[in-house]
Amino acid sequence: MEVKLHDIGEGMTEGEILHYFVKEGDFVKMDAPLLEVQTDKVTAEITAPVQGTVERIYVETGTTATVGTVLLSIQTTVQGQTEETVPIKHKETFEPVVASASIAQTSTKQAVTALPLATPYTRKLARERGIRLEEIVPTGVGGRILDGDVLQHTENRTVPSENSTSPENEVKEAKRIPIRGRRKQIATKMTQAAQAIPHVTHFEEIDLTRLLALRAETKEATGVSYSLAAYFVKAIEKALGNFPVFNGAFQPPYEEVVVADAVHIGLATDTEEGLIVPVIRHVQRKNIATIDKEMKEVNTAARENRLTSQQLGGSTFTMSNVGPLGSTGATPILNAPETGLLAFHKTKERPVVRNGEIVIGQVMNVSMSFDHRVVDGGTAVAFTNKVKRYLEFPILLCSELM
Amino acid sequence: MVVGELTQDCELVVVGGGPAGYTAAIRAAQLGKTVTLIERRALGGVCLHEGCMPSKVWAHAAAEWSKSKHRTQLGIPQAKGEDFQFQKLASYQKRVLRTLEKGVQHLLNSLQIDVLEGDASFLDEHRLFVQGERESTTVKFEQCIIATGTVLQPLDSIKVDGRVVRTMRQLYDAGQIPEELTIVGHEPWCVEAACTLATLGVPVTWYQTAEWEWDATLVSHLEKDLKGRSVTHHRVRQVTFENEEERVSGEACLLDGTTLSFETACLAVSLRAVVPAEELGLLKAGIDIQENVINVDEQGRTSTPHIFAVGSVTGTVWANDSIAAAKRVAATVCGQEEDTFSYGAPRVLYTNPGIASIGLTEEEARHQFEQVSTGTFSLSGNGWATVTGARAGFVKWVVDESTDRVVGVHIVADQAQELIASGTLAFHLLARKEDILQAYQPHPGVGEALTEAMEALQGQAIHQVNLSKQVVY
Repeated sequence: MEVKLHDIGEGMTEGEILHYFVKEGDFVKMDAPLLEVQTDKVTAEITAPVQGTVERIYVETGTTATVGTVLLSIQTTVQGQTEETVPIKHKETFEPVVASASIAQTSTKQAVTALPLATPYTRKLARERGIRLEEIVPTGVGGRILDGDVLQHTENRTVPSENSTSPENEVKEAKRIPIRGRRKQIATKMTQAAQAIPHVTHFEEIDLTRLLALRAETKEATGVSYSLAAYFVKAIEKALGNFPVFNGAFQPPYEEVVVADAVHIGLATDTEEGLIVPVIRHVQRKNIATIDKEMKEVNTAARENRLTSQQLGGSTFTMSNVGPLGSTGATPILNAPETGLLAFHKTKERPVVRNGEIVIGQVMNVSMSFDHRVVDGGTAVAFTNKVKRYLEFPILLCSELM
Repeated sequence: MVVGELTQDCELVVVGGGPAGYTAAIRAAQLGKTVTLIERRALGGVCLHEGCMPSKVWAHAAAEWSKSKHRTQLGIPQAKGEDFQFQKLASYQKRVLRTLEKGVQHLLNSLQIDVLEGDASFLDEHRLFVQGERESTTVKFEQCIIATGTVLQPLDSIKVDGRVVRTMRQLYDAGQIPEELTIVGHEPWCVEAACTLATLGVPVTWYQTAEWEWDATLVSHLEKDLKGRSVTHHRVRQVTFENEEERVSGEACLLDGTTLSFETACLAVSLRAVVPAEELGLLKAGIDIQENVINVDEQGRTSTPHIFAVGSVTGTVWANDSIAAAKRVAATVCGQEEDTFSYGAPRVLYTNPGIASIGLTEEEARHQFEQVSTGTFSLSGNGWATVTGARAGFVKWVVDESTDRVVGVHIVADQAQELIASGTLAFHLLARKEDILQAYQPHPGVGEALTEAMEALQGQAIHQVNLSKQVVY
């Protein structure tokens, strides 16, 4: 019986084989773990569908396999039975002593599913441009790479500067880091988003003096200090109420923007394995305390690499709180197909003019990226101003909550 | 051995004039290289002189012979005499091979490819010693392509005398038609020899030493076909034999573990093909071999970067793969980047009716895709096949239902190797069901079976009764 890589989460198409718990010849019981797979979202175990002996492992550790690929086979039947009924499958058991096979007629049929789909002419186009088919985002039916995809990819490819074209020996000395697992997923998603969406980013300064004071007061009153990010999430949600179009997604084939009722905020989270975006769902229904609690939960889960598929995907707007790491500005790539992404930078003491006097204020920069097909700069600035207003006058946030 | 006094400087030297070698030589010359080709016997190599071509002349003769009954039905007067005239076949074969060899010679001449006759052996990474019949030469080269083919490894237990014990290549010798024949092996040439010689009247026993790699429908056809020709066919784990005077006796261990003793007047063994590493002096040029084949990368480059290898020395079994690889290697040698990508290549058996196949078998497809469907159309429903009396066979498409894409084509037909050409194109152009349905074929023609097989996939073949939908009155 062949064990294939099956879809273990929402529409995954491939996974990286992290390691096998078994080796060829091992006896396994039904449901015993066979191997661990890393998808773009989660790490999952694949278990034995039947009891039997692991006959052959086809896919090596570290390989990225597509859904449907046969990973290993398990021998379930008693030897004697198979020989009677089905044709023998294995040449190894079939070695002629004297008369021998000439050169081993190895069946080198690669999994058809594992190869990129492109006709010979299209492959020539790619080859002439020095592009690997695996890099190209296919737009053809059933995942076909079309001539246009190759040309598009060529256009989008950044031309290396003359200095950087290195002689052959330099290439040889370079360290090669394979792009696999989550990194590969990020690469694909970012490329798609950056290529498909006309991005614009604008910046704003927000004075958090009052919010920090409010937070200190809350702590004094309740003994609990909520993270600033929890207030940011709430402020975004409130602003989205005023500008629902930012809770929408542009759908190119239909030329329409689909605006979601519920606000699900994605939290761009930096982990050792790379960026991941867990989601706080139905932010309208949650108060700052609940948001704060959930954020801490998913943050820990993300760092420990145990996010569940329920905690991932389906966000309608994404925020990136890079402040704790530093930074004064960024031009974030949108979490496609979302319309907006708001990045929060480091809060610093800065001179602020208040009532004609220079005072020390706690000031933070934000960067707001948006899809220019959906909205224009004016609307985006208005949206950011709304967020700014909620954060500079957090009493509004609280009073409107009551 | 004295190193030749003559030293010849070459840009590119190709060692071996078989299909891989001469193809690489011609392509490299077309791309502007100055090429020298070294051949030790005759241009065309094993393929032309001992393998593909002679066996196909015989397969063709067998196919035509089996049509003699059909001929009389057409009113063509029967040739006199009942016996097959092997001597005539031999002279025909000679003519065919000579024509082909001359053709290769002519092509090489037209591109000013210098042909050296003799045995080549590396002296170092840039020099080859060529021992000709009368003179020897040292060839100094910039780049080299090794396309010598393999040599057959003799058996320890038994001596191949070319008469009682033969290699598969020694079967097509009109002077020595065996009274009966036992074949041991599993390669394509084994089943072809069994079919051809059985058709020409030789009682054949075939011990098949490894499993078929063909689609199950083809296998079941082949097994019935062999039975129909009275070929005794056993699939075996192993065979042992010993030489007796003018006979060979042996034992075959069948799959169920039972043994079968046999005795035969003529044993044909498919011998192991190995790289003649020592003769070629591969070590002196720093060329790695592993498990009896020269190690090459995707571009055909050996462990010595300016030396390439192609053809059976690299483990390729099928000549079409070797020829395609030779063109790639030649282009790489000339500094062009080549496609090393393939979804698969057509495989053909000249078994009369022939077998042809490309892509995944139905079983393989079911492992790789969630939902697979197949459409099969029997040639007994085809007009042209009925006109020509060649109604045996079928066309079978294997389709991935989620994308409608053709992932395999399997054919049994007279001229299967021609019919698969459409399937090969469909497969490489990523054709889908609808493409096959709409690209309708000449009428009457066997090609119509391609359309009808795809129609059969949806239960809509015109010339086939759909049993599940048959109306019963």
